[in-house]
Amino acid sequence: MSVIYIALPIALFMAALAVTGFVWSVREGQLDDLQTPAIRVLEEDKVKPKR
Amino acid sequence: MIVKSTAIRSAKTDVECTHCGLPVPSHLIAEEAENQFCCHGCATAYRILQEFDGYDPEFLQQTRSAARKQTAAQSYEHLDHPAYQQKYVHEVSPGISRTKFLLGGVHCASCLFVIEKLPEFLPGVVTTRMNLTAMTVTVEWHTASTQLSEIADTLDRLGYPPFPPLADKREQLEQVESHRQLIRLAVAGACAGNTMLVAVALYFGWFSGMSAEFLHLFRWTSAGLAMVCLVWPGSVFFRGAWQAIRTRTSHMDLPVALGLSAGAAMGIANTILQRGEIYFDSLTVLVFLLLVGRYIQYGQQRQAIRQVSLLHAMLPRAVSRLVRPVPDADTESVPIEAIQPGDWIHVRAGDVIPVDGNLVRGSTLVDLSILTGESRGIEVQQGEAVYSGSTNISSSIIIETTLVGTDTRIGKICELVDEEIRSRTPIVQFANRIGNYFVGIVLILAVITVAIWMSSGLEVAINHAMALLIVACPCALGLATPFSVAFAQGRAAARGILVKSGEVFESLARPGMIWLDKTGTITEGRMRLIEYIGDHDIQPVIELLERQTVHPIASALISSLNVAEAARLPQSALSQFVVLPGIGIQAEVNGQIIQVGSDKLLAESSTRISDNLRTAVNNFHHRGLTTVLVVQNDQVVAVAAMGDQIRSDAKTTINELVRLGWEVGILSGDHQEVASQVGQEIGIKPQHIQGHLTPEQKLAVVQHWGTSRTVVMVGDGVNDSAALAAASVGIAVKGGAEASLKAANVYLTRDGVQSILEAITGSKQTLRTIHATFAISLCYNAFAVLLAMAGVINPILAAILMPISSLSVLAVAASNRAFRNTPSQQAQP
Repeated sequence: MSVIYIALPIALFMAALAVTGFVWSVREGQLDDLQTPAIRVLEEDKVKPKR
Repeated sequence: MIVKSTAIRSAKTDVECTHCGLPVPSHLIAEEAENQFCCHGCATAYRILQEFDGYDPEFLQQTRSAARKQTAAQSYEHLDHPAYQQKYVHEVSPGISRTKFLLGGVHCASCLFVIEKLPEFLPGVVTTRMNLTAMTVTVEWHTASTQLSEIADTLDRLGYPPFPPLADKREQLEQVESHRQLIRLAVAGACAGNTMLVAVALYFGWFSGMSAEFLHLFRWTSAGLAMVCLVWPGSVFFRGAWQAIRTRTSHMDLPVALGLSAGAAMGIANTILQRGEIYFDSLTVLVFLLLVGRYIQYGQQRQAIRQVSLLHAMLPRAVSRLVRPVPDADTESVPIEAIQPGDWIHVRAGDVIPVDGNLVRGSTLVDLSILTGESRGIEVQQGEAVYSGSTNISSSIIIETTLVGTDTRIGKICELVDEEIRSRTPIVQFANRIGNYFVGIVLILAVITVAIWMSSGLEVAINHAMALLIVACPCALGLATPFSVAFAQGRAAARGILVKSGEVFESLARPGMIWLDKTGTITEGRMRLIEYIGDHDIQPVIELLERQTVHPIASALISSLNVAEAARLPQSALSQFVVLPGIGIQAEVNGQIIQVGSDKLLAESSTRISDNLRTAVNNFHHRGLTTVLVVQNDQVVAVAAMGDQIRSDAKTTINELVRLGWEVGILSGDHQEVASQVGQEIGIKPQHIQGHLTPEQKLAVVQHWGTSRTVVMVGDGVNDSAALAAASVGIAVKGGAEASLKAANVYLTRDGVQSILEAITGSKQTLRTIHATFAISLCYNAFAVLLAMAGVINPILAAILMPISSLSVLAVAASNRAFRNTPSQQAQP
């Protein structure tokens, strides 16, 4: 029996896992706002006084 | 001495924010200031970067007081009311509560930074998280150390007035729909990707040989993946097609579903019979691409709807109710839903009237422009009716409620709009019209192909017919419109033109009749000084008097006269200040009796006026302007003419529209003379200028014109909304009322009428692109069908050619130049 019979189900299983992960993140609301996080990273953590 | 003051401003949209470079909204432009900001976030961020290295209390105080000047002082006490708290506030952990606000005035990234710094400004706030897409902020705070009203107040003072979040139900439904679409995309994408991987293995096997065992394994695997893809995400198309068949209307889902099922049937048959080609890779990619197009379109529509609902939330939520129906009773702040007919309500000057009712105390000027479009304030005396949605301008009043909610006049107009939207017959889209014939023709050709090749055996005949169905798969046709429209919608939105549906592009591309509302559309919608005749030296005195009152004409006069700081008179110069009800104001200044008011001052027999000034007053009235008389010791010494300034870009835009073949007219609720004057000035034919129209009459005019050709209605008030909904294309301009935005299919976020022209030229280009994509895909299909009928193309070649046609259509759609040029280039096409 060829390794294909093991590799193919594994590949499909991993794909299914990825889709499940994506579905979970969508349901969690992680993809609801794609605009703000991109801007938020531009902010500095703390304004440091120069003097 | 005659002084002429012509106050024409330069185009507003030219002013850029010093910090972020976005256009500055006209009401935030600080004249003669060196730096201009589009929002308080930018102003704050800019000052932080420029001037100082930390948050010192003095700076914060400055920022706050600056912000306070901009926003009307509003009380947020009602947010602490248990009724509000129960509905919108959740306790996340003991002592910490969480709520959500919809924020007004959010423009750019700087706003985000300032708002998320709230915990540093206000002790007790734990976290603030902003969502720029939904324009909402989630706040968590210690209930023991601070109150919700204080948080709201701070946000308001920073320049972001908070509103309760939108009706939860609709927002949730949209969220669910968006999630569903994303999940469908993910599943389709995964299926397509994996089927392609298997396909690669199959193609390798095709060239280098593969044992039958693996060949079948791979074929069944891709068949399985394709089935998942068609049954789950692809079911959208089949459901759409089924609906189209049931309602006997044509829909692009129909040919798409037919193509998909033909390919799938052929693929499955070949998989089971272990021969020929399978088309699962093409099918899954096709489903994925179609869904991507749909998701983009859906996202754009949601964005547009959100912009609209933000304005909805700006109607007053809190009402100051008298505890007992007697004039001197105490007031309490309650949510608007709590108001019943018979309640007495206190409305301050400058507030929006929340209910229909009768005035029981006080007299005031009311701005009815949202209902009637009339730009002049209307005087209301005790016992007379006031309507919700209108603005109380001059003084504090008490109203006895008669009607609330949807029973009010404004509510009735909104219902009219809803009905109009429901009864609107959908314009049959070009794609659907072609798609309809297309499906029939392809089926007939397939039958013919079978007939031709029957002599060579059934299998050959079916094979050629299938090749034809695959190669003629109208995927390019199905993609052409949604993609072109989605691209155009996206770019237009970036330019401040929100287009709700693709039909708009089709309608706007053909010239027809365009009706413009006057107030707020052609004009700026607020009073300003147009001309000043008479004694120039008395201006500081006028300014001093007008500073004593809150009145739109007074504030317009003060800002237009622009008396220099040095010339201003001290408050001590004024004595014996009295308000002449319904006429104006009177005071003694440096021993002289000065009256400033309407022409009713002339009714007093003692008032004298020179012939020169009398002619001027009559002349102003003829031009539809409001006159303000200045009387010094019973002698009229100066006349100021106030009016609604015509937008600087109106005339050129209308000339350009006429040049493009449009007929332009005015529909106004304002007096005929005012409308005629404005129309004449910007070059509109007198027979197309109609003034003094009720909302119902506006609707009738639009319906009357709407039978034979494109009718575009442009407006902003609620009074326009029925007409906006009835028109083939309704365009709502910025600052419009919520109902008008709902009714319109286009919403302009930028000031001025220039955007209308841009929308029209952009639509023309978009329609041209759609036609080009159609031409390409039809030519391709016709050519390919001929080859298939001739038996030249086998199904595998068809499956390879199919995505190529889709890609070429996509490329053409993406190359559409509509809405890409800068506004200045658009002006001279």
